[in-house]
Amino acid sequence: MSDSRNEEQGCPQFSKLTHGLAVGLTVVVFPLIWVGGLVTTYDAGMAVPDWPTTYGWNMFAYPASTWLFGPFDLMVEHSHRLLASLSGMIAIGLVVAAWKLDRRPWFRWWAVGLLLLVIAQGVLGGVRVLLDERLVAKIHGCVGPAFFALAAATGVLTSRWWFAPAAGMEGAGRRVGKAVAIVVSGLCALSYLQLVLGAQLRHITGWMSHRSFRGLVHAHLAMAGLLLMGVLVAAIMVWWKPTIPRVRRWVMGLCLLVVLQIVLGCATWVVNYALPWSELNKTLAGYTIQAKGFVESLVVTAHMATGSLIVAFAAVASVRAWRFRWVVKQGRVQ
Amino acid sequence: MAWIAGAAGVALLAGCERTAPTAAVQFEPNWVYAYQIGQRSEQSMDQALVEVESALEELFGTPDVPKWPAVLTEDEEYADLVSMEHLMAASGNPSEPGRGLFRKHCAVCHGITGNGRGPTAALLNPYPRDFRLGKFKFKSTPIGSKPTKDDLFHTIQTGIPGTTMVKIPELTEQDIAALVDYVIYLSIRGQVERSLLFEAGELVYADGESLYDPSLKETDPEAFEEQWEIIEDYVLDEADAWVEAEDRVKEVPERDRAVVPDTTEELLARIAQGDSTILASIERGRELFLSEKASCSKCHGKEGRGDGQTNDYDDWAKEWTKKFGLDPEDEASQIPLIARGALPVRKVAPRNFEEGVFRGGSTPEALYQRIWLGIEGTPMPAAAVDPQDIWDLVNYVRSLYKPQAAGTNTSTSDQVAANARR
Repeated sequence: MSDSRNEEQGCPQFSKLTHGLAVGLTVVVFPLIWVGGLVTTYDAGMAVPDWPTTYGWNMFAYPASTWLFGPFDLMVEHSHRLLASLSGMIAIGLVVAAWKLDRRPWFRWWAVGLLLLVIAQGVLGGVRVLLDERLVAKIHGCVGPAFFALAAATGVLTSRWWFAPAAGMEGAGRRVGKAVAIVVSGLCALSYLQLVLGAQLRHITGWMSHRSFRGLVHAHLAMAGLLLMGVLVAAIMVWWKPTIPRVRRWVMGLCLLVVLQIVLGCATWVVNYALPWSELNKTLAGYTIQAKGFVESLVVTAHMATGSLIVAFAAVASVRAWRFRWVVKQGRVQ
Repeated sequence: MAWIAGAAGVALLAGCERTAPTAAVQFEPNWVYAYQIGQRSEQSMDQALVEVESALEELFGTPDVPKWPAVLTEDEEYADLVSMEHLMAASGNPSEPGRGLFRKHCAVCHGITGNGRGPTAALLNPYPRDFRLGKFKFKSTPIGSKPTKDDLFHTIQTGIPGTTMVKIPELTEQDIAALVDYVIYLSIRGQVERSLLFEAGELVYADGESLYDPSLKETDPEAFEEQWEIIEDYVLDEADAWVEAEDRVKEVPERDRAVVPDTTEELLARIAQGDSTILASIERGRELFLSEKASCSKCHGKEGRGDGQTNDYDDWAKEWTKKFGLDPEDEASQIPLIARGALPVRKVAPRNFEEGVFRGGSTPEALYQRIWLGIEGTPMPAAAVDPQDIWDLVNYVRSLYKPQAAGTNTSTSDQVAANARR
């Protein structure tokens, strides 16, 4: 799929179809994560007790009038399944495109790995329904964001930029320091660990000790502080040191997302556990939390989805940073 | 690095799930009380704990398979107290159809045992209620009496503003009724546990005395019968208190709506209009509030900002500190008890009326009840004033509300004072 434009731009390997599928996969997985979050918020995971069928129907043939206009939890769970199936189909398309159109052997196997992961994630979701097992739900909830981050990274791996990372950079700063690449990769790992901690707090059960919960909350808060410092350091590094805009842009986005996430985290605490110090705010001092209320659900799900977005942004920034650095080291940039 | 993070993530996921949800869930013994009784009686409570927990299991079953003591099912007087159908719906694992209401909605804060020490408890303010003390704040009965089922129903149905006590619209009336029964069940179980531990502390185990020895059933049925009767007497005592609650309800006298408006907003509007009836009532309320007789200002402060005497504790804190001669201020002396599960004590914060938040309800009737009957387990006593004068106090405390959005620090009570000056 090397058209004349690609040839002109020095990236004959670029395939619009492969890249489109990778980006499409990322675009589909993000709402899938939102809906998945709603499944947990509304405890809708067991709204459909069978899997892969839906109340005995083939899930694609299940009448739309039943689930679209039926109980909310049924709609949430069934749309989660349909979106998941769509992402699975796109992942299959990506494998086919990779094997037909991409010349990089490692990328072909990357695409296969991605497909296997989405299949595993689907099976985990099914097992969660069949066994109604909270540990499986937690793993399912943590694999989803990892897949999202990998899908977003695949978008970079298949982009025109990947094949010509220094295009148009002549005369500008062309160096990404190793430190920047390490910091953003560290942020990716840390943000994912933070997400796992968050999953622990979200899937809390009555038999956890209050010491464990307190430890988890404190760890989550400490990690949030660490992440905030990390993104600020990364922002300063990419802002003041010679770098490339394609990395800086993502790091700045990461900064904004982490700040937003901290605000959402505080709001999540309030809508779950009330204001810790009632004298702080008169309105919130009189606020009665409503289980599964609209605002409450929106806040909690947004916090969860933003966590996934942070991991994805950090993954994209990391891949870009390391790629550029590798290309520079190979001497492909003057 | 990502792989390390992934591996650590998996370890984290698995690590905190120490007790599988499918494993048998147990009630947690009252370690704190047992420790204190042991200290007082200067003997090990190990054997006592084994016997007490064994007797409790015989009486009340387990969180998965609850029982209602036979001595209560045999007597018609207790027939309406708790239904087995409700206990089954509220107990057990939520993954089983028609079960697990308590574990799904309540245990995360109140704990499986209802000891107010669920996973989230230590970080909440106020702490979740420990049902085992048998005390409940918001009720229609006087201090010293149990709440009615309606009182508990109302609290579960509406939630409590400014706290983690959440309102759960998905609960049906049947669900709430099941939870009410389960709360009573946990409360009675917890109180019987305390009574039995206290009784065990009076025995001398070194001399072969025993509170509950099932092996006696075979070897000495008469002695066993005697032990069991004592245990059942404690159950009956607690159940009696709950049954009597309905007869102890204090009906709030009807109010004159012209003097006591339905809502704070209506009250504020009438103050703004200079309604002389309302202003006079508020002034009478203010005088009472500041008087020695009602002593409201002692804790709530002269201006009702909750800044009076603020160095007191509630009964849930005093129960394991002052009652056993520990100074709540002395943190070091509490370490052995905190290690056994007690939550660090916190001082009680008297209500700041400027916030306009009333946890037991904002209706005039609810406020009347709080003032008239006091708030169980807290330093808030029943007001020693004429019942009719309480409506004036209700008006006064509502008039202290300072709406935040108004962007002014002038409370309606200031307006009342201004009107009085005119």
